[in-house]
Amino acid sequence: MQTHSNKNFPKTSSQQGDGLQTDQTKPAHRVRSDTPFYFAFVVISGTYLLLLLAMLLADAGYMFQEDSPQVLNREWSEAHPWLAIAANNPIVAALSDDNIQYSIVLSLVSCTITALLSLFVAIPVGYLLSRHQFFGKNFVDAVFDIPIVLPPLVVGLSLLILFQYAPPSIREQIVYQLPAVVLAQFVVACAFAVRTMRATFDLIDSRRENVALTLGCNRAQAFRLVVLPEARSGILTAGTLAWARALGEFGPLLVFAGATRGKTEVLSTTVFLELSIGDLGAAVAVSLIMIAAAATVLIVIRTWGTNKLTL
Amino acid sequence: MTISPIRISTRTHRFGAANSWVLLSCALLLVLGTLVAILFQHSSSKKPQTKVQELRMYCAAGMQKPLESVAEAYHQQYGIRILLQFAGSNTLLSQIEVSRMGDLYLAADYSYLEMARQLGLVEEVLPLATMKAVVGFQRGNPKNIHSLDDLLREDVRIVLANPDQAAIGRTTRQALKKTGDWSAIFKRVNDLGVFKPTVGEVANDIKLGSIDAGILWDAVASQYPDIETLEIPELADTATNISIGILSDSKHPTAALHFARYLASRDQGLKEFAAYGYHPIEGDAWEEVPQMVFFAGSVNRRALEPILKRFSEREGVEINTVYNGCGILTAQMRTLVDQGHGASSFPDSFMACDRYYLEKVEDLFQDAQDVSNVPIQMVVASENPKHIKSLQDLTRPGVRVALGQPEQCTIGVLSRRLLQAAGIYDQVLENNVVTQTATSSLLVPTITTGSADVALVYASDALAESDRLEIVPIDSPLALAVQPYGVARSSDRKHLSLRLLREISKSRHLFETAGFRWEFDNANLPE
Repeated sequence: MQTHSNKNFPKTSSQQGDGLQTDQTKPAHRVRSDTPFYFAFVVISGTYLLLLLAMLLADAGYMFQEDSPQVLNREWSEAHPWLAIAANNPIVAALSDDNIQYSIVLSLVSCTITALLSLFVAIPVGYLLSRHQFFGKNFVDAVFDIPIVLPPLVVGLSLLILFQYAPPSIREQIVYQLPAVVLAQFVVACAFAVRTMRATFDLIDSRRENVALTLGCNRAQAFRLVVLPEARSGILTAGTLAWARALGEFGPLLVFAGATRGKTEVLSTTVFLELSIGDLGAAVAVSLIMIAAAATVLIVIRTWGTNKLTL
Repeated sequence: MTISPIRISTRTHRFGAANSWVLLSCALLLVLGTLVAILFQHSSSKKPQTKVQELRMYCAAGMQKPLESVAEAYHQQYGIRILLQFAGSNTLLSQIEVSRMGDLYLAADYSYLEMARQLGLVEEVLPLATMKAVVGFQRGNPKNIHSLDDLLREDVRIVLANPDQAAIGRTTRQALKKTGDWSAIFKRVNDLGVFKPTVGEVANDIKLGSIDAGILWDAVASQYPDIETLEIPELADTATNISIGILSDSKHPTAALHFARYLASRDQGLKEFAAYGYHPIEGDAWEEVPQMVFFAGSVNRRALEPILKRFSEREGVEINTVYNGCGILTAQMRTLVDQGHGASSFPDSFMACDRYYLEKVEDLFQDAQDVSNVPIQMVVASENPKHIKSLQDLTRPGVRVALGQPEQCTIGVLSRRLLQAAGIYDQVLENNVVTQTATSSLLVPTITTGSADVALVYASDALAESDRLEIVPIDSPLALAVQPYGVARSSDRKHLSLRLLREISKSRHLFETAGFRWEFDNANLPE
């Protein structure tokens, strides 16, 4: 880290050399070193990063020390001992289970649907909240934050109660069925997306938009041509946040969508349920699968979204 | 010279270029659509069934009329033909035993199906309706019959169904043997009357007038307008349960169950039974593919999953399972019930972690049966360093105790009950408890990691880590969690839920492998 050269700073009167000497005793301003600054920040960030990595490694370590289940059959194991060591572990056992495979597909698909729907809702809401003042805005603001504040089980219970008022034909299609999974995830994920989008739109100067309006656009065109492109990274953040939140959510799902294997069970539900029967090995295995899936998706989206390789 | 006015174009629309909004929305819709399609396609990818054309049913002769009309209606709706074979209930049973072919067996009395079950011929049994034995004679009662003794008069010829062939015959014999009248009647029929192989023939004989009186089912009699009936005290105890059974040798059990459910449903098959004078039971509501809702405590999951899968595949039903801590499940149930909208989201059945929770919703359930139990034990580190031998040792100073949280998990509630009964709960809570966990599975780790000296856990939890722990049993009748299974009073699928209970009752080994002990009393087996 090099210190900035003094030429960026206004010259003191003693350096100007125009004969007007006023205070020649003041020394030249020296910029202090940046090392402590970066050191502190890196230490803090590094500690947190190490903590997260340590958690992951501990999980993996715990899982491998559990009794290894027989995934490959006997002859195969004996014929290929190295392959057997690699394959006979709880993760592979979990991955070869039909139900877990279905769970993975369901999690990925439903989280993506949730993220897209959340964006679809969060963009208008964020825009309106950001750009306009209206009577009761604080109240509306608070309402949008409710799903974040409520305990997840209450969200699920409230949805269940709500749908008891719906006519049975609709209710039977939704409660304990697939749409319930998406709905329950959506309610929570959208709240986060709304917050993010609002912050994004707050940061986008409305000047450019107004200029577009004076140039003959209506609101929709100004939004599409000016605001949206500028909000791209914010939208990406909101989308990935909603996706990640949806992946981790299980409280409302347990209550509203049930945990039917091969139908409404997602990875997060599997982890919780394996934990409650004391099968910590399986719970950790599925957790690691979840982490891997999430990391893959997030990396891919960020890479594709920002057009730069930031591995 | 005219200057053509310059027209400033105020149009911002570009020709020849696609509207980006439209493009974006279409792309998004396409993506969404594909995802939704994947979702639904994946979830309904069940094994396709080989198309069933016809089912063979052995049907007791007395049920000919309602069965023919139901089979016809079923054929109209589903294109599957039911081949009906009529004979006396016992005759049919022999036929099934010999031929080992066919899909369904409908008998006039449940006892035949019980026999068939013991012979391994029948799997599921669905109750349908009841009938009673009565004396029948021509309308107008020309021979003036008012009691059993009138049947023994010289001028009265009587017909009975053969006790070894038809259910009515056997029922009559049983009833009259009890009152001591059988030998007289038997002699009478042998001398002056006739035995017929089926109840239909008995009815025909009475109708034709070739015979003066006979004993037959009240429902059958009501199908013949020329026959009048009389109830006599000797036949008071003859109510029978008409039931249909699925044969073990059936090649299409799911299709057979589909028809059996159709027959046994209150808005389809049973209506026909009622129309023909039978007394139908309260059956399940008809559903093509029933959607059962089953609430279960998460501890039961490991044992239940294979049972549910087997059951849903065979019956052709979908079971929506909701697992959670029992406290949350009971709260969910209360909420649904308090709303009182005939909530379809209320479970059809509930398997709790302990009786404590089923008792909380007792008024909503019926037919609760205990299925399994799991003892509660104390676990300590290997070698038992603090020498903990009994519950009283938990109060020793320096002993760190880990318990479940009573508000959040069943083990918490049961531990509290146990310690309160021993009179040490408050003391232990104040001085010795170091942690109260939210679920039972978090208790064993407190011992293996050394953060507590002793914990009260389920035996099944201790099983997994038994090499690193020592188990100290608790000597108390309260140190037991009993898992009951209850059927909801409000359910439209009570019989289906009872069949699920039967399936559960056959799976003792699954529970025992999962660390539970068997509690089910086979005497309580539902039909």
